[in-house]
Amino acid sequence: MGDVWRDNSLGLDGSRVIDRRIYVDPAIYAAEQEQIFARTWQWVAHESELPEFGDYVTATIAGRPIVVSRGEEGRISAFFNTCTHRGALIAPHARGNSAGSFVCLYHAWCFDTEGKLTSAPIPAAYGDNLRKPCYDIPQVRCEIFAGAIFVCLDPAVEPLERFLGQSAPYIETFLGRHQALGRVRWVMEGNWKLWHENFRDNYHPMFTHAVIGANYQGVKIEGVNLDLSQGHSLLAFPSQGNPDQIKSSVRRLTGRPMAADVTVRARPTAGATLNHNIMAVFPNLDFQNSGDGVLQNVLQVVRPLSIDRSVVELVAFGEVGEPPAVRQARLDRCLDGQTAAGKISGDDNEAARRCFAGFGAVREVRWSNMDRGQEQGVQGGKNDEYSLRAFYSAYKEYMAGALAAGG
Amino acid sequence: MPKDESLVAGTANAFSMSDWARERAVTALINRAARLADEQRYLEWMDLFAEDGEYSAITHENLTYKGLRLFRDVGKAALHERVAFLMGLVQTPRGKTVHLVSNIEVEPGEDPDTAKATSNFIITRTGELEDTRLHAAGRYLDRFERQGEQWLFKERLVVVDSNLLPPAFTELL
Repeated sequence: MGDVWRDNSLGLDGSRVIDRRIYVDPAIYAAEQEQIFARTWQWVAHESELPEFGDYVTATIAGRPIVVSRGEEGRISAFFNTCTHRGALIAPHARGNSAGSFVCLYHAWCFDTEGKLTSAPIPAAYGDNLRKPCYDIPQVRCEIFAGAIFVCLDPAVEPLERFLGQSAPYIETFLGRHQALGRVRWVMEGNWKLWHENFRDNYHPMFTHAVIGANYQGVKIEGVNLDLSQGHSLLAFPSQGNPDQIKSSVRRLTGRPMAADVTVRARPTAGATLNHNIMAVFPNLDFQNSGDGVLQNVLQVVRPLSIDRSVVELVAFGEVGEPPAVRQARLDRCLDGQTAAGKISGDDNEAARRCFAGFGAVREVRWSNMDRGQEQGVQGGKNDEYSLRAFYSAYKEYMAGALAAGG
Repeated sequence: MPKDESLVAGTANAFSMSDWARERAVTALINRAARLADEQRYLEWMDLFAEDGEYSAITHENLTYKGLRLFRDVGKAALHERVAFLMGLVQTPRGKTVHLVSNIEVEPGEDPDTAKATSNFIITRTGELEDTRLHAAGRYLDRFERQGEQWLFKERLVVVDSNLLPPAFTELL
């Protein structure tokens, strides 16, 4: 049988190419909903976003509206966000508080913090036919790791911690003893995989990002690119670059020297430790954590709105109990490179948009190269593509059958 | 007497020539910032800020939550970095924007050489081969200071209403 992508025009092993049809084929997109999004643990919120009784957040996973709610004794539970009477959403906000009871706006059926029907108004008209347990909202599997709340639509999927595998200790480092500081979301013009791939690609930054390209001038690029198995992966690298390069870059781009009496915001120079981490958790979750003063600790989740349009949602984190000055610095600057307004992500949005537009020629130019790094094993240099291959190895397993159609 | 002073401060009769001049100068500054942003004259836009001036943006959602900003550039060096970013941005088609600023309310600051203002904005953006789209709407919260005859931005906080930002949101707000 062999790899589904073995017969490619690039003469490469099937594990080292990408069939561009996966970005544009409606049948593949439909299969992803049920075979990937409905069969993987999906991040929905951090516990710190629901601190009080009655707090809830909502999400849509594989088309299903879901509410995650904090109830009695602090318990977190998840259930479908739909009234069992006629279907209306019972939790209307992205984040809200039910005060302990979700009351449907349509006919005022009431549900408790775990989705159980507590009352239906004027019940006499139903005679004896209203069997209340039939109208409890079905639960969605919900597990918490390091404060991160995940849900899974498939009862057969392994428990969360086993699903997270080797990514779990990193999530513990990134999120344990942390609290959410806020969310920002934006539209990405392209197939959802393009955004997630970008976190596994560290070949592009020195070319795509003019503002950090200077960091890499004349620098031997350090860092590792690691397949964590199960589709998860990690990029770990030290701070690199020289603040003086930023000054010369600013002068080159603007034609005006930076004022001599001001100091460019400190950029860490070379260090031996791999204290910058970009970790990708299959299939659509990413963490970015930076040490030495950058104060960046964010996660991003990308979800498709359609085959060609996605939403990226970012959550920023701070350490519980950190000094006020550190917290303020995070609130002020940790998104500087992030979001659709960010000095780095702004470029990434454009790269994704151009890739997706380029896929219009998929019939004539079908294969993308994913071959960087020739060492055997699971680890290579920062600019290699062990991370990308980790994603597509898992992707092909989940999508078995759906990729072969159409040859 | 304090009571009388507060009463006087709120009446049109008390609107002195210096108040009028300040309001006129600050309103002109707000309009100039909008025009220079639309014309992508980034260095000239930057020159409307004081040396220690700051420019930042936040979504309304985060303004009313914990204060997580989209960015906060404090001082000329940070502003210059932003200008460099905008001038080197890998983005085509570069959008042409139109800033519409309205509902400007100017108030005096703590001393005669300072002022503050709030205003509303709508920004449209037109990409290459694209129609004109609503890009952003929101509110400017500004503080100003006078240096000699010139009024400058001391602080501009842009509050963006959108809960779902458009894909290209790097232009000056």
